[in-house]
Amino acid sequence: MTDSEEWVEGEAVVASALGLHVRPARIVWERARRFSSDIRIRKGRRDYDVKSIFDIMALDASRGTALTVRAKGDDARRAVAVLVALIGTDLDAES
Amino acid sequence: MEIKRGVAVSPGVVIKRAFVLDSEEVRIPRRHFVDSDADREIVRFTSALKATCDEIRATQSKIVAEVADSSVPDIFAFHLALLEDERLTADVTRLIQERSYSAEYALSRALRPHLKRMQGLEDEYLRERTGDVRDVERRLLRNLLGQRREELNSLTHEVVVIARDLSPSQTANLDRTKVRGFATDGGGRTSHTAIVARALEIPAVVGLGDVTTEVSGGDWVIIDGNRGLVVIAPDEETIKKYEGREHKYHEIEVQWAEGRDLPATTLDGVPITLYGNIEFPEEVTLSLDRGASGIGLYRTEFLYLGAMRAPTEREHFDAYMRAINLLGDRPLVIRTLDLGADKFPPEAGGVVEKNPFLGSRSLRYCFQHPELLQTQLRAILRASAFGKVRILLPMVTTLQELRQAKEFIAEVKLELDGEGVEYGRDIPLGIMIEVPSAAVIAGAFAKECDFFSIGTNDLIQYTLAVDRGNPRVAELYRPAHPAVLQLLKQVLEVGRQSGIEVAMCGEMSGDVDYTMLLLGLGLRIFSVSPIMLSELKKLMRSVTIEQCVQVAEQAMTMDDPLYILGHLRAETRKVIPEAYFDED
Repeated sequence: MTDSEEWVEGEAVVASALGLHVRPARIVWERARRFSSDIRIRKGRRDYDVKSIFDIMALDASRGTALTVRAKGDDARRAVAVLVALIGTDLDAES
Repeated sequence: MEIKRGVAVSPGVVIKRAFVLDSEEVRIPRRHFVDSDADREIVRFTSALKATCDEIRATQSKIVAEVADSSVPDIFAFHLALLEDERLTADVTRLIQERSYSAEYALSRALRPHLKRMQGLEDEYLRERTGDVRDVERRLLRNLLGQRREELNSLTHEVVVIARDLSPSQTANLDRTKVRGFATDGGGRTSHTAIVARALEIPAVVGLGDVTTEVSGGDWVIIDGNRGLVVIAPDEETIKKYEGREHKYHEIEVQWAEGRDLPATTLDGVPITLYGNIEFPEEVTLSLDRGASGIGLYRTEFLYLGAMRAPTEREHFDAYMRAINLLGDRPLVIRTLDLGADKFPPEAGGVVEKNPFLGSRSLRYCFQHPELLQTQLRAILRASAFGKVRILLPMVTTLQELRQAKEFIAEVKLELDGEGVEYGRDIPLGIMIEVPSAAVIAGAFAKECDFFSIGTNDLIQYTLAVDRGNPRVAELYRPAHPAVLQLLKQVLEVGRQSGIEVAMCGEMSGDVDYTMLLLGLGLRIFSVSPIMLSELKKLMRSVTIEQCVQVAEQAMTMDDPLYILGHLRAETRKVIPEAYFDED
């Protein structure tokens, strides 16, 4: 089975101090749109489109929130790995 | 399809797409575009998007250089992310394509669910981001509407302009080769829209109330400037009917215009004088082109309207000289200021009156503000050294007012004498007969002034106590009312007996329905809107005075305004059936 036919999933916990708001939301969104795969984040029973910044905000994800990153497409595995890592990083910290 | 009724201020018929002019970026009304314009709307949206992003980037780099706080550039980056969001662009595009929404409306609709969802978030900080989304929306709208403003002077196809009311600056930006008609919510016969429409010779209907909220940009609209109708999104059948009328109207216009250099003489050899009514000096050319032999009414209000202050003597004088230079030795009748206190901004001495038409207007207002009248009279008198200028006083109701005005003139003449300034020594002075009291004692007035000009609009309104701008009573406004006809007959009789000239400058004088009646009653000087000149002349050249006297005598025996009008129309139709080509 190839990446492009199956949803790939990974678990992530929000690490940014103030949750996925302005800066972290934008960073996640910017990285997500560079993948060709369809990428969703599931919170509870609902799916959000990571390629829309409006959806990322609507996640209403504060620090410690558990999210499932799901992707389907040619670069799905890589997309899930990168986004799980990003969400699990404190993106508000000065780099 | 919807038909709206307003005030016809410039004749003609036109069928074009609507160009809806927003005055400000306050609210984006639901606006549909037709399918074929979807691409154009998408282009508008994408270029506004790009312009907005550029603006934000420019601000961003400026701020980064000036502000140390690292969270500030984040906000701008976030705004850029909102603008570059593919979902948003896709939603807007889809709404434009599938629902035919305008770019502005599609944007508002696409953002609304996001805003609503954000307002329901638990995280207060995220909730507050709705402010950022609104800010971005505002910037985008400003750019969209900004484009629209620019479009006004670079229209790609012919349109009719739908607006609340056109301001002088808006009309200054119009691409006159593309604008084919006007329809406005507000305004009246002397509003700026009306004046510009007549000068451009395009149909216009004003005072429609809420036409801007009912018409969507891109809608097909018919403007019927002959009857004061606007048809929104007309059906096939109506379009066909009006296309026929539009075509016919142009055909007839051309035919009428052919008679422009012929004298306005009746079949039995009675010469009639045709003058033009103008609002600004440039209209002199239009009048002369249409065969007028002078200007019978120069409404000087235009010099006052729009400005926050009264015009200077120099401004008056320059305007009159422009008209005189175009006229040569043809007559120019200048009417002194005919505005009410309600028309002036409070800082210019205006007040809101309960009943402005019975209040401080025209000559009454001038007497209360003598400096206005003195300034205007000085300019008129000075100009009279260069042309055949006459002074016409509006709204005279008593002999004492005429005498008071004469004192003003005498004083100004003394002043000019003292300064050694030239002026026409025997400049004629006339009064408007537009109040029943003046009509009733016309005989007394005739002994103290040089000419009369009958202003039918006010004369009818005051005689019948009807405000025709009020839709609830407008039906009662009947120029053919026996009382009106009686007054007209009486005034014309006074003119004949006393030997002073009687002209008519109201709308009635330009309406072919009444031409035969007026000729029959003895009117020989008609002062009309330039666009009516050719039609009127054609009719005058096709009748005999004897025939008209019969028509008038018959009318005077009748008692019902509607029957009288029917009788007049039937008689006129026999002579120039083409004038009634668009009757239902």
